[in-house]
Amino acid sequence: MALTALNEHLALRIPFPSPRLAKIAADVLDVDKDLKPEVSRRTISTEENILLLDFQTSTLKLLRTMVNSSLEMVQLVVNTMGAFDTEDQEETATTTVVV
Amino acid sequence: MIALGLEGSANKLGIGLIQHDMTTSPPTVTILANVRHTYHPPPGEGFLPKDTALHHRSHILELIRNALADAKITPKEIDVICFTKGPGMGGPLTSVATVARTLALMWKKELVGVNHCVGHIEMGRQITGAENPVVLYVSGGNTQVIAYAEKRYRIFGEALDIAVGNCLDRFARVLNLPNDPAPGYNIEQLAKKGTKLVDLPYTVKGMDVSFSGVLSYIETNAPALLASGEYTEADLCFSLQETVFAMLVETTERAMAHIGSKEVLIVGGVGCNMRLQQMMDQMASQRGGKVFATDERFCIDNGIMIAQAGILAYQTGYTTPLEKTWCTQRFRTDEVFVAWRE
Repeated sequence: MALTALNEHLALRIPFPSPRLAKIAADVLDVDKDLKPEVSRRTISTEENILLLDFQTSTLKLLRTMVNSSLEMVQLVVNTMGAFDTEDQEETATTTVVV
Repeated sequence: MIALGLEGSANKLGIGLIQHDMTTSPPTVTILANVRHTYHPPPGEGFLPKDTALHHRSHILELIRNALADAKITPKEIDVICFTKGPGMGGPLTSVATVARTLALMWKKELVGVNHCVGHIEMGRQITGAENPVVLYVSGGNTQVIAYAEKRYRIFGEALDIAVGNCLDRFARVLNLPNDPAPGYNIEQLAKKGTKLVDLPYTVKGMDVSFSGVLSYIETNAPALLASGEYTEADLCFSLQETVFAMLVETTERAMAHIGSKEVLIVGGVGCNMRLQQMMDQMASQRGGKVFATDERFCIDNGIMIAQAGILAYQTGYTTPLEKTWCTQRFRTDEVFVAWRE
């Protein structure tokens, strides 16, 4: 199959309360790989407490659907953290020592 | 040992907490929580993946909170988080798996990806105490006749096209029956008033069954049959149930004869249909056998079955590494290595 040019591009920077939570979000989201890497690609990384999402697609329409579905999942992860990260304080303390 | 189970492969979102007391042999099993929230589309419509995924995302956190409250435990006491890896609808599966992963990383727990069909089988075995039954797994998405042999649940026969529950659900749409509590349940209630049998196509091919022909036939002919005044909606529901259930009983009986088992375990959403249980019981008692079935708490998709199948695998040392916690729409029952059975 001919290689399609990935002309459309969007980068998102989403801040999290801590580097630990940003890393968890990145690891959770990165499990689901691109279904069609020849037309759409998503790169996930972190920078301190910032989650970086980088999208490259062949069409604007694909970019919209991909960004949309990724943001739905980010929202779900953030809400899950808000609801259940009860052990935040003590864990942050230990993590800091390790780092 | 405590497992959290998260299920959302179709329109039911279920969260369960199960405890295995490992100091006894076999372990004493206690169900700590089993909560469920179902997405009901309006009458005449089916549930679409996008809407179902949104339903799951909107309710899952509240449901987990309820499960923890019911069980009176804190996340610290949980040993393993089990989720449905497949088969099912992609969007809903991934939404639930995303929450499972987030919880596992925050709480530092292991993850176990569970085959939905194996979840049904293990829950049915646990609740009924059936030793080595032929399993009839019937739901809105699956129709399989299964027997255990050499570390696998082997599929003896299955639907070649649509599942039996899908056939019933889609006929419920023709009659505009409500989807609450379940379209199949409403067909079952209406069928009790039916008296006249319409001759419908009966399709058994060896060990396999086919339901798309009977559905097309009844969808096409229902308006005329009803307009003639000769048959009522109840008669059509009755006829459809009698025909499709007879097909299931026939293939199940052949599997029993083949493996020499006298037990039948019925699991899956259609498994709580009393008429199916009754017909199966007639067949089994003629063979000197017995039918095992569970009620809607365990038959219909739930979180506890995922926790049960997951904790059994976890006890054998099985875990799913994070990078392999993706979901798959196609995941056959016989792909799972059943390490926990002899």
